[in-house]
Amino acid sequence: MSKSILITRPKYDPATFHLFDWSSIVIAEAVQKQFAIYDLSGQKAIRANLESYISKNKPGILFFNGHGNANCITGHQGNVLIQSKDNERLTKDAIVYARSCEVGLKLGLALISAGTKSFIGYRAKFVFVTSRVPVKNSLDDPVAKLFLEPSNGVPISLIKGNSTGDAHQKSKREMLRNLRFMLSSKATKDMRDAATYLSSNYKNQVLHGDPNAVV
Amino acid sequence: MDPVTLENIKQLTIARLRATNKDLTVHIGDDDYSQEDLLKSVMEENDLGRQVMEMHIDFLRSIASGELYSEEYEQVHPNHAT
Repeated sequence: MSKSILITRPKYDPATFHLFDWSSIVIAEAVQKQFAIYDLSGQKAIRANLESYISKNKPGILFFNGHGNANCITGHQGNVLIQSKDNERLTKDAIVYARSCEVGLKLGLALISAGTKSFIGYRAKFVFVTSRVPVKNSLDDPVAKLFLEPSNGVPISLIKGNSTGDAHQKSKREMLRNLRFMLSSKATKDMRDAATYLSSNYKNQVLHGDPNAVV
Repeated sequence: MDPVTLENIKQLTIARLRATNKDLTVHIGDDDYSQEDLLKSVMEENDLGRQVMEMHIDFLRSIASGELYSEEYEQVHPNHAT
């Protein structure tokens, strides 16, 4: 499988603004590991670009950020990127991580049936919490960090050459560590209040397909 | 969900949300919510409110059962791999 990663990271509402910023950490890791990077950022995160980049470059990892539901993943302004019973074969032979709502319910299974090697996503809404305290950017938000660092752990672990099963487990262990910290006396009140929602991501992150797939 | 149980969960969730820091934004799906937004949804028992109630009761059950602290939790709940 080629050492390359395609990232979709639209940036048009508060949630996607945060995911956009946090995806830059994954890109930095990919640069360090000398991956070819196809960054469909902002308005570039549309279906025509996605199909063109995948058909030309066949990236080994597909990392989607944005909204979704049980049947689709979307990009810029809700533009549908991948949809059940439409373009399921687009992700064939790749490893997919979708930081999107509910995609682990049906779409992930459909992609596996259509030849995707491995899929990591969420069976329920992907949830994260941010502080309203002004910060320079999302990466400086100590509450957001507790949610988005463990989810970044999936693609970063894949880039480092770990299997999808290991990447999934490592991310879940990191969420569990953060949850225990958030419930401890060392956490701030904001962090404790946010723990309920991280618990939901922890329980609903799923892996479909081959847990031994590597890039 | 049993109506009596639902009412209990609703009141529990309302109490927890009222005790939550107002300066947090919760990003759920396509939207972003303040604690007041969540509180209103729970009171109205709309789709979002029911999802929030489910998150809160699941979390409390995890705490009560001790499963989040169990060393074996990963093995007991084998990451839903298929």
